[in-house]
Amino acid sequence: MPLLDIRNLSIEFDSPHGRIKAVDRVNLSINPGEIRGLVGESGSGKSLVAKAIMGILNDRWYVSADRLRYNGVDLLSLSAKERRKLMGREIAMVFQEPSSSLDPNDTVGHQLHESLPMDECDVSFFKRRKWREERIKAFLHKVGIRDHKRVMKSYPHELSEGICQKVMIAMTIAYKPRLLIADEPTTVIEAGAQDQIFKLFKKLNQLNEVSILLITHDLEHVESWTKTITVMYCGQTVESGYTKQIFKQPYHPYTMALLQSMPHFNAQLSRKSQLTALSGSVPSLQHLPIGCRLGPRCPRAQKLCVEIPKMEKVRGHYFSCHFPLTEQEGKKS
Amino acid sequence: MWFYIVRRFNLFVLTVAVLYFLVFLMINAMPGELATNISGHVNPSVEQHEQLVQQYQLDKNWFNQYISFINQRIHGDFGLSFTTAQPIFDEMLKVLPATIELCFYALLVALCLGLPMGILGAVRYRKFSDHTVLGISLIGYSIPVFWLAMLAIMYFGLKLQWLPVAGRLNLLYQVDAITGFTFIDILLSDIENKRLALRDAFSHLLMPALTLALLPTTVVARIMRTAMLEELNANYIKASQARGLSPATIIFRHALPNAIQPVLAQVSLQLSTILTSAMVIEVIFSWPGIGNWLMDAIYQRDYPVISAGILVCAGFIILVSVLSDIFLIATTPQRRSAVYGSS
Ligand SMILES: Nc1ncnc2c1ncn2[C@@H]1O[C@H](COP(=O)(O)OP(=O)(O)O)[C@@H](O)[C@H]1O
Ligand code: SF4
Ligand SMILES: [Mg+2]
Repeated sequence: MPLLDIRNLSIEFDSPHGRIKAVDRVNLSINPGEIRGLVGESGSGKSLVAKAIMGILNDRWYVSADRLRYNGVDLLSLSAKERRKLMGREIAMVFQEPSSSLDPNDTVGHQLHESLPMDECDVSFFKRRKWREERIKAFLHKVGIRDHKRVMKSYPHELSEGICQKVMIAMTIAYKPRLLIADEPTTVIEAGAQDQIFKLFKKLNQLNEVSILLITHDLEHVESWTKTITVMYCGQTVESGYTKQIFKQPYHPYTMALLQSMPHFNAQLSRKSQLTALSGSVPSLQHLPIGCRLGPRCPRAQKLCVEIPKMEKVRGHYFSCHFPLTEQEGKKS
Repeated sequence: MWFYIVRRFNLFVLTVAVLYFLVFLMINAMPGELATNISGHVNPSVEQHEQLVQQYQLDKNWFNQYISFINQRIHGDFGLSFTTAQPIFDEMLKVLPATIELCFYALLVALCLGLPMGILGAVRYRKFSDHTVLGISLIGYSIPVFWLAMLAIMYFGLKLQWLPVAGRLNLLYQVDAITGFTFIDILLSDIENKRLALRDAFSHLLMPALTLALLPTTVVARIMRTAMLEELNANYIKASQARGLSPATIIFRHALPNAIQPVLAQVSLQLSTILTSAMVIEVIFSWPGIGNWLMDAIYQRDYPVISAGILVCAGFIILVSVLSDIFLIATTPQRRSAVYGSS
């Protein structure tokens, strides 16, 4: 049984132009101990999906799904209180904008204190403070923060984005979650420290069996750190399957375009030649095309594409396209 | 930080200078003798007139006059009142505490009622409580203060006879004005039944303070609601929800401290409206404050008193807004850094 099982998740909101489906029937599942990548250009609704899983979208958004299950429990039918219990303890999330994810008016140390799960504490009341400090210190060291004293005394605006992100990661792993949702965890972290964070995730995954949903737009990270991926475009899932398989043989034109934008994907690419890219740009939410949302930009689009393509499955590899790339084409380019 | 305070202080000095200049122009435009209007000496003798010309440098050009005008006022010399021939400064010291007292309690009520209302509205956004809060604040905002005051007098004062309709304290109680604040004076005095006196003072205060509080309460509630809504939608609130913190912790430990500082600063900007309605209230309830005093002065064409009243009230409001600005900066780390960044 998958740990997280999402079937046809739609997220809508009311705009002056009527109700808009920002996320349209997305499918996603994560098995226990799996690291799954969720990729797509920015604006494709990755963060929305993550927030819907956490249940922290405000009432302007309408979330509906055929299935939104965590460990067999239907998340949408939980009461706010039950859901809150699950959050933080079982599912944790690292946010995209770290410095704005910390209370600007509170020291980092206090916020860390607050996030420590106290039910693990087995020392007497008077030693709690010390116990917490020790724990926090350990977690901060784990994410690569050396001068924990200074960091704990600081307010978020006094720290760099990278440090804030590390603090956020420290907070989430403090709970020992079973599912970790990392929304672009390393975009603001300097290149050298990125690997450190990914290694930490990998270690959590291997030692503690933490499943990870790694949201990113950086395909190289996906390639090196994830086992399976789901590709989103404009609020729709376009393809999902094993990372290796998809990188070898994408079926969906959008995935293909994404991969071709990676320099090392095309080994035979001559130096200084242009990278191939789809024409046009991501449509705005007010002007979403009907049917397959890639339609206007898709080199393979035909009349049929105004109907929404069904998810198809070929050897454990899902895609939704009326005219998928065939094996030869995939290889040729 | 210090840099910022100095900057604010400069602004304060400049604004006050402009204020003095406007009042100075006004005095010049008033009918009658300038020396009389500026000093309050009606029919001065020749020597006195000579002395006033010296004092206010009336024989020099307008700039010198302006400077010496400021000089006199800053040193507490506001001239004499036409009607009582007493130094205006002393009179003001008598009436000012009454106004401050009234405004203080009204503001206190406004904060005690308005802040929780605003928080409730934001937390229960678009639910029944929110609509109730909005409805109440709209009604409160639309009711004219003087009308409400008269209704209150008619009903609670005359019909039910629960509350006294005028003054600050029953004349039975002989309390000397030491600080000018009734409650403190009663406590400091050596009259017998202090508790009765306190109760009497309280019953006198109740109606004026509550009617005066109505408008600021609704304003506070709305400002608080907006600020709180904004905070509740902030990223760090989402993040703390995702960490499973309880709603109470999120609202009171995180959202509220962030929302309340700008609210407090904005509320102190409301002081000018409070002061304006306080003057109306004072007249209606015969509250012996600066509004009553100024009203009398206007009826009597007591120009020195009018100009002094304007100087003091406007100066007070400018002072408060500068102070609240500094307070806001001092307590918000985020903003402080923004200021550093821009300077
Ligand atoms: N608060 C919001 N109000 C209106 N539209 C929003 C809001 N948040 C996100 N969106 C829209 O939803 C879409 C998906 O956003 P997001 O999930 O943040 O994308 P991603 O994380 O993939 O970059 C975007 O087109 C964005 O414009
Ligand atoms: S369904 Fe049509 S438009 Fe969409 S990706 Fe496939 S070929 Fe392109
Ligand atoms: Mg995002």
